[in-house]
Amino acid sequence: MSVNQLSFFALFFLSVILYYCVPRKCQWMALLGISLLFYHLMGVDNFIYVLVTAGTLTWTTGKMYQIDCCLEEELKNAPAKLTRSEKKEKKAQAKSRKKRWLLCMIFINLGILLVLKYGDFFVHNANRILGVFGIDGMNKLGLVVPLGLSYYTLQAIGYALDVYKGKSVPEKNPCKVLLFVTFFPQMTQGPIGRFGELAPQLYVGRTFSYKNLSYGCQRILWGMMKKTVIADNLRPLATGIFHQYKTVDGFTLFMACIYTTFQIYADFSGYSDIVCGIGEIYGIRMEENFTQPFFSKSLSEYWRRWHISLSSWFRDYIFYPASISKSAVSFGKFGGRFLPPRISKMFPAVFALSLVWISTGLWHDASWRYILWGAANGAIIISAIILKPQFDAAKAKLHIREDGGLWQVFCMIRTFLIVSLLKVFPGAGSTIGSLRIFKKIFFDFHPALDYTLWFMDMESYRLIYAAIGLVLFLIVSILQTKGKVRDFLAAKPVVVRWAVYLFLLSLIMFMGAFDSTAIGGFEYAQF
Amino acid sequence: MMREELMEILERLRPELEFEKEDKLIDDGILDSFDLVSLIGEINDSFDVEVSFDDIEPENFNSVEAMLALITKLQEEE
Repeated sequence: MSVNQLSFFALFFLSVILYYCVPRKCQWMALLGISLLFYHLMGVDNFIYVLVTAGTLTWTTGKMYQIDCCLEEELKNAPAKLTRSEKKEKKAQAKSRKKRWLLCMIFINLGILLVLKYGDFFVHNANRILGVFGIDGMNKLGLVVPLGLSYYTLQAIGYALDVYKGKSVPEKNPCKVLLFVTFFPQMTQGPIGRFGELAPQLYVGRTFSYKNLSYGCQRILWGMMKKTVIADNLRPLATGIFHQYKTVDGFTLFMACIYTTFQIYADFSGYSDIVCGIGEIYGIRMEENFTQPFFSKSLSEYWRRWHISLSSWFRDYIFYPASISKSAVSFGKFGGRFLPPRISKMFPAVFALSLVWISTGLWHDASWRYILWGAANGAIIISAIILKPQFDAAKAKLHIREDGGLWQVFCMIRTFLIVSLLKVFPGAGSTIGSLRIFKKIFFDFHPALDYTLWFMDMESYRLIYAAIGLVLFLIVSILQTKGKVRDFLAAKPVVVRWAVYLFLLSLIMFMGAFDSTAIGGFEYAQF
Repeated sequence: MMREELMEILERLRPELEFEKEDKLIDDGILDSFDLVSLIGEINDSFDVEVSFDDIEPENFNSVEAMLALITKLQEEE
């Protein structure tokens, strides 16, 4: 079962009735029951993994909090006033004990993720190396990866790190922690929630609100339109061209990259809209995952606007600790011996960025093409930072005004084209395939004047539907930069509002493709 | 003295900004993650402190005052 299926919405409707009918103090229990039921119906029977995650999370965060409380008590009740160095020593000891619990939690949960998701990738590559020496390879593990493993593992680790930092007070009730880990709308594709923002909303009781219901339904309709009218109509075209990459030219492949960019955005942001809408009906505000990424003027800005919950997770829990770590600082000092001070000072951040981008690639998929995709993103972002003075000098020579409208549009198009070109990696079915596609795009690029060739042998109505959806999407995106579209709509007379809802509903019913061939019904569920 | 030194660091980092007027440097994305890491490196070297992972929170870097308070706290802990 996927969140874009009618059966899901039928069950969801019943769950909302249940949620608002039970006593307020029991609402979180209803939400947990509903989440576990959906988790089961989504085809995931590996309850053991979420139980291990919730169990280890409750246990280790409790221990870390206990250490903090003991330290506070000890400092308060010390018989004689402690010197600064004594206090420092006690704090260091407590921190070291907390670190052990934190590492224990990370070791267990990251271990599960690594074995289940990356075990076969490791075996495959190890076998290739062993084969070179004529040694028999190992058998593949063939383990089933539970849907959403990459999402809820990061969410759980983020929570443990927040408790370690003293930013969050841990939840003692393991069932409540289980709800935080398994809250069903975000289970398979995020957004990766932060404990401090999401958990209190899950546990508090609330009364039914018509505004939440209507805003939630609007959001779901909008997400469904993006998913069915844009993403599912474009999907056969994008995947079809990539599958035939051996027989098509570079220009057509580049067009496939553009289609894939729109398709993946509509698919993933459509899912996020549906999830946020579902949360809103329960009165829960989920983290926004997108803020008009196609209006970004650089690749780094694009990544601050795309899949925000993942990029902010990597920023807060990998980039920052890695860039101030002793190894990164030593790396910077090493660089300072033979490089100009400006460059060597960047070394710790460059080291951390490289780590973030390799991890981001690996997080998406256990394959070399995704590692290359991450490395390519990282290389472009790092180069832009290092070469900034040269770019600024070139812009000054060419009398380019940074705030000029034309320049800003140029930067947006440039970013869009870079993002689209990098879609070769996810689009191609293999690493070799993606390298061959790049070769064709760069060395066999023959722009076709006959526009019908841009769309291969796809049914023309699908393209028209997708184009209508995209124009609507663009208009709403532009309006969103100027203010809150939904508040604007809410202020309109009831006839206008319902006309908009019925228009969206008819777009979905008559132009929607309802393609559920992707894993979990959505592209990002496979990660 | 500490304020002047910090202002020098900030002006070198982003000369176009008027730091004294800003109080949401991180929340509003005025300083990005790369700026923040560079700033932490400079603070560590100039004030002989060690900004740790625990200290990297928006409220510690949102304004000049917040940064000064963090540096003072870290110096006291040293």
